[in-house]
Amino acid sequence: METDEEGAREGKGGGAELSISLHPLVVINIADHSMRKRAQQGNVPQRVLGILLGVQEGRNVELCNSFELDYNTNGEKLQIDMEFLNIKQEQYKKVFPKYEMLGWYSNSTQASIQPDVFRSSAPQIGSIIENPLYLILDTSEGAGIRDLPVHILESEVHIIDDVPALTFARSTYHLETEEAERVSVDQARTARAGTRSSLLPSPDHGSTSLVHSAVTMLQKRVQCILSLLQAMEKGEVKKDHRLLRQVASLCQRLPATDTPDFKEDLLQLHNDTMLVTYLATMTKGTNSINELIDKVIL
Amino acid sequence: MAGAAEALKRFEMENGVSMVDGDGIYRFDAAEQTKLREQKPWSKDATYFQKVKISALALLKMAMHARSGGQLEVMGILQGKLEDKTFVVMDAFALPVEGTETRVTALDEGYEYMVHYQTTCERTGRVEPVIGWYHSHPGYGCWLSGIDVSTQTIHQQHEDPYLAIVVDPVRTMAAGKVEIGAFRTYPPNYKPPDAAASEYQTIPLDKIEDFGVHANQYYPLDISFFKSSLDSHLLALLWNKYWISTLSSSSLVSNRDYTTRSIKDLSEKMDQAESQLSYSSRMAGYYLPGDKKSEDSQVSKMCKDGTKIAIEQLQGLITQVAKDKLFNMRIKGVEMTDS
Ligand SMILES: [Zn+2]
Repeated sequence: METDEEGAREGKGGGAELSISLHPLVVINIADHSMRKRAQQGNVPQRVLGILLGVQEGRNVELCNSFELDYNTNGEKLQIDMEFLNIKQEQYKKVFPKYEMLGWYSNSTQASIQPDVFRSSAPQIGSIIENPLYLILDTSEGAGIRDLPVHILESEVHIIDDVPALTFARSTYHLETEEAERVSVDQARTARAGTRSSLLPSPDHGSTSLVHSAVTMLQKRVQCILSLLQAMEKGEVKKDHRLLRQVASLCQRLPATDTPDFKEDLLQLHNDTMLVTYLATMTKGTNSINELIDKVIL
Repeated sequence: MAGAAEALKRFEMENGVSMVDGDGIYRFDAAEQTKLREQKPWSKDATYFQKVKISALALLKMAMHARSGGQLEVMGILQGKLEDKTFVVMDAFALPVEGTETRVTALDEGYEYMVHYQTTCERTGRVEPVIGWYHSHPGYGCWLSGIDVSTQTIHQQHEDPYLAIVVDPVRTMAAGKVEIGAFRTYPPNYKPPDAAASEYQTIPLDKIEDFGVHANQYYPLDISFFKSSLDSHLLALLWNKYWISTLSSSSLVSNRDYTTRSIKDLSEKMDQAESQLSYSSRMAGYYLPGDKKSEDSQVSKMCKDGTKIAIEQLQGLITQVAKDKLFNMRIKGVEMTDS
């Protein structure tokens, strides 16, 4: 990472940590913002800024949406257009009244190192949002080959020389998806060139194929652990006892939900499904008989 | 760093994403757009527009907005540009209007908001103009109601090119794929070449009349999705994280409500068909074969509805069984113990 994190300190576990969940829409929204700015400036990476929207309940923070900001660069200093921010906030308040402003975001672009965005924008954001979060999406080429290039910083107010100052510590987050979101993200992810009318039933899509790709993913990971264990057994890799204990405790957790309650629920699902299938079959039969009778009558 | 850049290249190759071609769609050529808008090829050909391309961002925004509305219909605006016979939807934003199915003026209520929003957009690099609207049909499928048709017709008359998109958040969940439709209405007095060519879909009983009366006044457009190279990179990384949630949720549980309603709707349709059937059988001697034909298709429609419900239910069960087998299997004779 670059200059953005100069102002950030590693948090040393002071107080209860925030539990931050992030929705894919925020990531895609920021990516699109930086993408279109870039496309308009002759493919030169551009710095983008925006506000994070979401809900907070106690120590649980959910980042659901975001909107874009406008800024000026005054020499070394970056100046957020606060009037514009207020206009945008009013607009979003009307449509998503539940969401409040929880922080701000920026992208980092290695190709264009700009004046320290974080330091110049933090006081402005701090003046309107209490304990804001700062999200950085690394949009530079080659970033995040293995992991999502998203970093979230959490702010704390410290009194330094009798002056309150904002310090930032790196925070962890987890990805939050609800079913509708997963389906859309998946549709976008697997979309290929070529057209498909969505009204046509396509057998290659639907919940079963989703589960198939998830199980494939799981299998890959289990395979990875297995090959490591085999290599350790053969002595090709040095035995790591800590790792082995982790694998053992993972195996211990299986079977995951082998309880009578679960079995009963699953049986219930089986029965429900069979009943529905039975009804559908009866309908089909009725249809066939109806067609036959029509033929006989005519 | 060189290794990482190479890996990204490989990633793009594997995914069929090319930086230059793929992201060219994100540029906005104002001169070209103005030229197309001046030529107005759509004013001569009622079915000029055939395709719609929707960005990953617009798709996600529409789906999330529709979902947040729950059982209420929500509405929003599409921003984008035009290509040959194609609408390119780059972005979408929500309007503060709900329950749109009962009022023709719903889109006008959001008009002031739309204009205000649109003027603030350009400063953040969103330069594309408004090219249409979207709204949701929670649980009753993607088609245009009578009110939708008149709204869309008015807009096509005054603000063409204009596109209508309908999303169904409830069926999206049930089917495990995004239920979305894009439509254009025919001009008044236009006779479509071949009616009744549209794809069959389940329409609830209380909407069936509205659907039937207006079904021949509009036509669907082919929908495809696109994403930037950055999007596809991020989406792949997102998948690396959220695949677990796919395994930890059950569509049978979350869609229980919808399934029950579907079955109830089907049984009501059957009751109706039955009463019609007994009526027509009494009169059978007087009826011409032509009338019999439409009766026939009504039962076969119910058959399709029933099959659809059963397939969705079965898919949900297959998922559950797969998970049970994956995580609850006890290997006989092998007890996992720390050695
Ligand atoms: Zn509608």
